[in-house]
Amino acid sequence: MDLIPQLIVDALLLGGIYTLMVIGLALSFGVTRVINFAHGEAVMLGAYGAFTVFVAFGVDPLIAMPVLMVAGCVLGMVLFKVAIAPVLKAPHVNQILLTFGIGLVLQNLALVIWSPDGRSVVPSYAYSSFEFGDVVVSGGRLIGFGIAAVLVLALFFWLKRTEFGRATRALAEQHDAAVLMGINVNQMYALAFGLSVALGVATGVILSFLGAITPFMGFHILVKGFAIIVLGGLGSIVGAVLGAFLLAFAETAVSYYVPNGTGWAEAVAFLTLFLVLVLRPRGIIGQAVAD
Amino acid sequence: MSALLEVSNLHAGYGESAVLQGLDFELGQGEVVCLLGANGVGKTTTMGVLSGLVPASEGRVRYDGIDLLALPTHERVSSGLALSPEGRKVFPNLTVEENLYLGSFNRNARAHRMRKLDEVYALFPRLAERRTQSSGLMSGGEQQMLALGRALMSNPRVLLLDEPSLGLAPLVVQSVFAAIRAIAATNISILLVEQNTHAALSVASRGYVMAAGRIVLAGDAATLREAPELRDAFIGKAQSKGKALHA
Repeated sequence: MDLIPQLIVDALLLGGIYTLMVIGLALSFGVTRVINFAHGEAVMLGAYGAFTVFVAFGVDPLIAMPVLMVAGCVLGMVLFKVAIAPVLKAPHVNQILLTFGIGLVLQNLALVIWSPDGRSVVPSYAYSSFEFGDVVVSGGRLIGFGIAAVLVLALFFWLKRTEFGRATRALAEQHDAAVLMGINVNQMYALAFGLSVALGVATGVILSFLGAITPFMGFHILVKGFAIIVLGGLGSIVGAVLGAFLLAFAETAVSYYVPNGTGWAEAVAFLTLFLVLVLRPRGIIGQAVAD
Repeated sequence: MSALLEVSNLHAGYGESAVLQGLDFELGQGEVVCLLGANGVGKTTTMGVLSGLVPASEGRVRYDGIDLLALPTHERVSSGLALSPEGRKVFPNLTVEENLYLGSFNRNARAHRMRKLDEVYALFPRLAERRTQSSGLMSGGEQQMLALGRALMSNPRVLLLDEPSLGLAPLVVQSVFAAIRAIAATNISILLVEQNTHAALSVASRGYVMAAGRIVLAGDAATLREAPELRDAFIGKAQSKGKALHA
């Protein structure tokens, strides 16, 4: 049987979910210039949020998602005001250690609340699938892809067409001039950070019905996120989308064509990070970032 | 009558280096006043302090009776103070019209957005032709027009213009200054920082000459045009002349 059509479908579905996973990271970095090492934990908490609501109230993750996203946005904004805003002018190492530390705290908090056992959410569509010619399409992944596509397009629309979206782009491009436009920078930073967390939470909700939820799932997500961002180039949202699909194709191809490839696919992100940083540190279309 | 903008004993700097060392000047309602001086005397720092990008270490700025230095930049903008910065600083990947929309980001200006947009396009027809183009692709002169237009979009009472002639060809400088004259005719007060003394004195009614972070000479445009101190200021002798003169 020809594997190519199946590979393309699987990679596209995965790429859509990866795009959602990374776009929040790219948004908060592009605006605040702080790399959020706790972004994976936003995803993890989103997944546990979906799990808890599903188990406690029997509410479908897709219905809980808007509420969880709003909660994530508010938490993100509060976290920004309390913890990140004070280190905005500090050296990058301090910022990295701070967000990394926040991630560790959240991981261990999850460990205490939900135990180290892998959890999963199983709505009826989670393991459904249908055949389309020779290609088998996973229902859960298709739904995840659809939600990711809607959210990513909504973000693009927001950035392009709204007052605050325009201000966000201005702030990412030319900080001082944005200040001169009367943009309240701290407020915009908090908003961008909150939105970024909300997008992370949405990713977690989708992942909650696609695989196991564990307190430490955020680390893998972060590594993949970095591989994608490094591929696309720091500070480029379009680059992040491109990187997401490249990584998805590379991982899917490895899992199909390499013997025992499913395990090796997880290494693709690490290898990508290594190769891009050595061969083309600015990414495919990104700009080089000073200091 | 007290001035609209009144700067007294202003000090500011970066780290260890003091740039402004006791600056005094004022700008009246509807006036066009220029700040002249050689590179590095603190003209751009003055604009930075007035707009809020650079903190002052000492001194006072009263604007329409309020303590300007106590306000964050975004509140200064909504109270009617707009800076067109040195080097223009347009948002290069945003279109011309998006740049202009950002000029009226503050809530007070948003209500007047469409009217201001028409005014800016009437003043700079070139911008209307290029409204959907990325501003980074435009020429220096067009970007300067955009920076001016963007500042006008905030519906300002006081316009701070930092080196609008910088890097522009003489003919383009002429058209930029024609626009500044047209803006001044609408009763907006303008503080103009320039190295191009000739162009600045052609639109300003009064001017100040700065050296080493303070005012060394003040007078009306006709007097300054003839003043030997002005030439000295540009070659750095004025510092030794000591005390500031007042208009």
